[in-house]
Amino acid sequence: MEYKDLLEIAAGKSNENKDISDAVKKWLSPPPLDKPEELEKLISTRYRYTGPGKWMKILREAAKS
Amino acid sequence: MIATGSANAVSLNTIFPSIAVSDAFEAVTNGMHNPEVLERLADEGRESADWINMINAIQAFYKQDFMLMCRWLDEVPDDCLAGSLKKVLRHMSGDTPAENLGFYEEKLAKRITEDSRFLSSAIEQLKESIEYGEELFVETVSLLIKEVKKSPAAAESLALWSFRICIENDFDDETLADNIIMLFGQAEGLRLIGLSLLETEPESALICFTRSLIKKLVDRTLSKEDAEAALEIIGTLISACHPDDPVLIDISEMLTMLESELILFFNLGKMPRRNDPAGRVSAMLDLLSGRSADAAAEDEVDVEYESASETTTVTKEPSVSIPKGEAVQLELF
Repeated sequence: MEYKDLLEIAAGKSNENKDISDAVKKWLSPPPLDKPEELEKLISTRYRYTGPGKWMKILREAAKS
Repeated sequence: MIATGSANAVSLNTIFPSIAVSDAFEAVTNGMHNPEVLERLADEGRESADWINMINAIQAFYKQDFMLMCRWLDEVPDDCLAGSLKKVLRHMSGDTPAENLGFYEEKLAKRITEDSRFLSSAIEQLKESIEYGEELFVETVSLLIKEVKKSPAAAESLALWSFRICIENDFDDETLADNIIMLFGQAEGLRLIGLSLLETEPESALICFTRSLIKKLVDRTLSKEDAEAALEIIGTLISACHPDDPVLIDISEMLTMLESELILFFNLGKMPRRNDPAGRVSAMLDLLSGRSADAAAEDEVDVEYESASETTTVTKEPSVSIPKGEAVQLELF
C-alpha cells in the first residue's frame, strides 16, 4: 500500500484492483461531504421516524370505536 | 418497550397480540427492522400475521417502495385493528385524499411527510456562518454534528467536511479539533483529525493515527484486524516521510508505547528489536500477524509486566520504564 492509496481510500474512490483490507478502509472512512446539503440524503429519513407514539393515537381511537 | 402511562397500559394490551409484536411495531417506527423476528412472529396466529403484514407495509413506506407497501397492505383486512392504519399509509404514499383522514391520521401524515425543515434550516445557517469567520462556523458545525450524531457516518463526514472548510478559509481549526475530540471521544476524534490531515499534513496525520491506535489499545476497544490495519496505515505514512523529517524522531517514543500496549493487549510476548520507525512498525505487524515468531526469538526486546504495580519495563536497549494503561493515556493525551 502506498501513500496515494491512502488518499484515494480517504476520498471514497474505488480501490477494487488493490489488495486493501476492509479494516484499512474502515480506518480511512467515511469520505467527507462534498457539500453540507448531502447531509439531507444521509439523515433526513431519520427525522421522519416518529416512534410508535404518534401511530398509537390512531390505533387507540380505532380501538375505542 | 413503548413508554406509556398506566392509563394507556390496558389499551396497549388490547391493541397488540403480544409484547413481541408491540416491540416490532416500535422498532419499525423508530427506523429499525428485523425481518427474521417478524417471520417468526407471523407464525403466532392470524392477529399477529395481520400486524406483521402491517409492520412490513410501514417498513416499505419508509423505504419509499410504495408498490411493495401496497402488496403488504392488501394482505391486511380492513376490519382488524392493524387495518386502521391502511388509510393513513395509502394517503402518505399519495393514494388517498386528506379529507378522508381523521384528526390523528392527518396529524401523523403531516408529521411524517413534511420536509425536514430543521435540517434544511441548519444547513443554511451553517453555510452562512462561514462568512462570519471561524468562531461562529466552529460553533455552528459543532452543534450540528452533535445533533446528527445518531447517524455516525453522517456526523463523521460532516466533521471531515468542516476541517476542509477550515483549510479552504484559512481558519484556525484548533477549537474545532477540541470539539471533535469532545464529541467523538479521544480515539475516534484523533482518527478523524488524522483523516482530515492526511492530504495536507501527512506528518501530523501520522501522529494522530498513532495516538488514536494507542488510545484504542488502552481503552481495549480494538480487534487484532483493526490494529493491523492501523499499523499498515502508520507504516505507509512513515514510508512517505523524508528520512530527515523531524516527525520520525517525534514518533519514536510513541512507537515504544505502542509496542508495549500491543504486547499487553494481544499478549504477544517478545517484540523483535528494530531501530528505524518503519522497521519497528513492520516488526509489530509481523508479530501481530504471527509472521515473525521464529525471528523474534533471536532478536528481541524483553518486556516484563508488573500488573500489580501497573508498570511495564523494557529491559534491553532502549532501557526505559513505561507506565501502562491510564498512565500512558495521561502522558499522551
